Amino acid sequence: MGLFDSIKKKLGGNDDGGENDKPEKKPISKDIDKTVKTMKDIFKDCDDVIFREFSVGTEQQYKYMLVCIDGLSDKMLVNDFILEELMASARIEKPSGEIVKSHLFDLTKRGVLAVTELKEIDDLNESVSAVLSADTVLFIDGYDKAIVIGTKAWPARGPQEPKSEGVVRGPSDGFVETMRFNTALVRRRIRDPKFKIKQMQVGVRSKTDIAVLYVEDIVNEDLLKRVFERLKDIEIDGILESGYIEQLIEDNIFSPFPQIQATERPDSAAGAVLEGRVVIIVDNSPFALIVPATLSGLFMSPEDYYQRWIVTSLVRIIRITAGLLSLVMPALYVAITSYQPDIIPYRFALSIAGSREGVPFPAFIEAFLMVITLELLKEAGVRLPDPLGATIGIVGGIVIGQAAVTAKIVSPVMVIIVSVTAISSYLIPNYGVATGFSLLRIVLMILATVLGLYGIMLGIILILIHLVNLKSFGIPYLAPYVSSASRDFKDSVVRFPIRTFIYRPDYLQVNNRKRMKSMSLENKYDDNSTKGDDGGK
Amino acid sequence: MIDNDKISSRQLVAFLILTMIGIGIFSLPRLVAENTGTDGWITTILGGLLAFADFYIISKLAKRFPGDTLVEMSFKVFGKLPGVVMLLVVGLYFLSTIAAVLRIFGEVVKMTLLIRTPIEVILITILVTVLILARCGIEAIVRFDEAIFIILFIISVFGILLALPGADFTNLLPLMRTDVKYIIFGTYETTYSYVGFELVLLIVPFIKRKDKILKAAIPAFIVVILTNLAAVVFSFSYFGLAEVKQLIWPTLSFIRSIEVQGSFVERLEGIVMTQWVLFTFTTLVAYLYGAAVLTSRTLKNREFKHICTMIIPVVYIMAMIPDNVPEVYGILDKSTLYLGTPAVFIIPILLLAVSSIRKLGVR
Repeated sequence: MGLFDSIKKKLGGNDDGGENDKPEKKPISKDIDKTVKTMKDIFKDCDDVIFREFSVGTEQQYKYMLVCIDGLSDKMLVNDFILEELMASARIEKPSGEIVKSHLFDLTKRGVLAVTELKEIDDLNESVSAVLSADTVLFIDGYDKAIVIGTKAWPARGPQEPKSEGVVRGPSDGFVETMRFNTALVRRRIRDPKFKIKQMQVGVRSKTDIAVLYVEDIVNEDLLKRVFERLKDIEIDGILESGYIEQLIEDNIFSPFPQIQATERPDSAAGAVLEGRVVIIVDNSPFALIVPATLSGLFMSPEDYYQRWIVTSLVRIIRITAGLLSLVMPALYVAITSYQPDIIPYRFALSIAGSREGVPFPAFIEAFLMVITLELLKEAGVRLPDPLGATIGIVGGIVIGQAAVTAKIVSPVMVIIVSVTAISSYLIPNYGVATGFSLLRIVLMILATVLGLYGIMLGIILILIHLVNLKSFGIPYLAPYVSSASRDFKDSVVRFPIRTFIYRPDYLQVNNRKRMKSMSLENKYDDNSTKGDDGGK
Repeated sequence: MIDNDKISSRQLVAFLILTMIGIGIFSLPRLVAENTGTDGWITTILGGLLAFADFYIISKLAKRFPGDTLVEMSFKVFGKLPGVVMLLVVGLYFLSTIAAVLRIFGEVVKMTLLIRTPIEVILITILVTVLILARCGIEAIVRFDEAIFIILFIISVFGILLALPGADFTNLLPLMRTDVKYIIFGTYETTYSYVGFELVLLIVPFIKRKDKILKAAIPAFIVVILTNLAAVVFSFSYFGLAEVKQLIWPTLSFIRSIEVQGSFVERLEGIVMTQWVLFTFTTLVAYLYGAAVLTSRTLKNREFKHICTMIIPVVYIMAMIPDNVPEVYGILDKSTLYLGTPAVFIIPILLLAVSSIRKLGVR
């Protein structure tokens, strides 16, 4: 990577450390009027912040202030269970006035507020960030402490069917933009106190919550340490999507392959956690990150484990073949038509040559035009609203395909090749891999143009060299095909019956290898096989 | 715990197979035909067994010096100056092997895949690719070997099945008509079709289980012997003895003549040749790595990657010196005799003998 060092330096820039000074602790003043003033100063021109000053007690002698953000906090909860409780219970004379006076804070905290989530703080900066993360802060006159009340409730989407990873068999709930819902969706699937959800905040300004999910006695500590190190290393103004985190903690930023798996499915995330991986959930993003990722894992769908194994194995073989086809098909067309027409049956070679008659461009230009058109259509299809997307399909598929052939810009065989390539690439379950492949497809086409089949082979060798060097958090990216125990092949190109998956994948180097009781492969619930042969009826 | 990249037994098997199968397989049928006629398949097996015997010595050496490569072993056993002389022989042998493999690779690719492309282009492109992988170090190399070898294995088995219908095995007769003298000489010659295993001496410190080296070599040698045997038997059965003697690369001609009627890919040549690019590629990478490790460790220079790069122009020039393929084989014969024999056989035997007399290393 010596070549990239100077580029890296130029791109990286200098770290002048301006943004990242951690604010020091700021005490809360005992005088509530001072606190009100400071808070109002801090939230100057923030018109969405609500300051509610009120007094309680029989003679209205205790002054309170409540700060929260309009729209982020649950107003009903604030009204009914904080304000009402405080104001109403102050009318009740028990306990006596003297005790109330001396234990106002504790009484408020323990006896009055009818909400689940309470926290005591004595730092003004902390109270500011609590307000900003949708909690409510209650200041009481005469105390240098404040109470943070969990009132998070913002407009959120309910769990819907994941758009990017559809399944036929399997749960239809998907992650949403709220981290808390997402962790709950995973927690619902793993009711184990050893399953940990560790939270932290990333982003100097955005203060985005992220949660790191793992099972304590399974995960490899070294892996976990790496995850936390890399997450703590992030210093950025804001994290808007888990894609930021993904790109900031991945191993090789120059690789066309995603080294972290993004998923919208809670069952995928739960499965990964149980296997000994680590899941990172980022607030405001419905995509959870699974680390480490392997190429073979990116070619799997969660449905693979829900369907029966024979069918799944067939589907996997088809999927992997399709992935390879989508990578090399256009390149093979270019290489075979321009260098090695002799390896295909001569009648077919003749028909290709015949269909290319009248096409003025060399095979490469022809293939390149079509592949680029394919990418244009794909991108247009993603950006356009749904009703127009169908139009693009018709315009692209029928009009351009048919018209281009009739106008003799491309040959019909080329149109078939590109269509098969497109369909094949849709079989790759992971979008990141699919886009990586479309980049490499063009590279392979160029190599095929220059050096024919030999060029394609060189290209594949180069891709393989990159892949064998690639690691995701220290785990070889090509595992289980390399550097793994033979038993991991049971869950690779084919999927063996679930009862053979007695151990967790070897390449993850987990602590607790065994995941199920060993079972025999005999059909133990099949009466015929246990009774034995009774000589025919 | 993570990132523990020692070479596992499976990786060692893949490394051995892919390093040992290279260009030798193309000319092997001619070689055995010249020496022992239709009894060539016997010498093919015997040559493999002799190579395995040699590997036995190498595995003993690896056990005796588990943390050393050939370089440190020679220095420890023979001392500075004699050690350097020996390493020079081995180094020259590596360079000449790379050059010969490279040139023959270029010629074969030019003949079968890229008829109108200048050979320089083929050599330079493959050299650059080889360099990229060799610079990544042995862990990446063995992972690469491991990743491709299952695919290659399956494709080879398919190829053999497809070749069966066209074979005429009566061409292998008569059996056992050759003088024992020729068989012995032929065995010695065929052993050089198996070279590549000596590179294990340069990766000893990176192998996880030094005591399993020999055990890993058994399947590797079986696969390589069977592959070479298949090449010999099929070439004979397709062409007969007289024709095999006339062909420069009988195996290549045999592959070119396989036709599968009615399938999508009618001629296997293009497919097989692209697979064979991988076999040669891995051989080249292994030898380049070996040569670079040898040089850098001898010079006590840590800059292994730069030495890798510096070897490239040298082998390129060496590969371009001969005028034609027969000349390449002439030079190759001489270099195996004067450099290969000492590098592959004499030095390991000497090392083991002297170190056991002087009681060096681990028991």
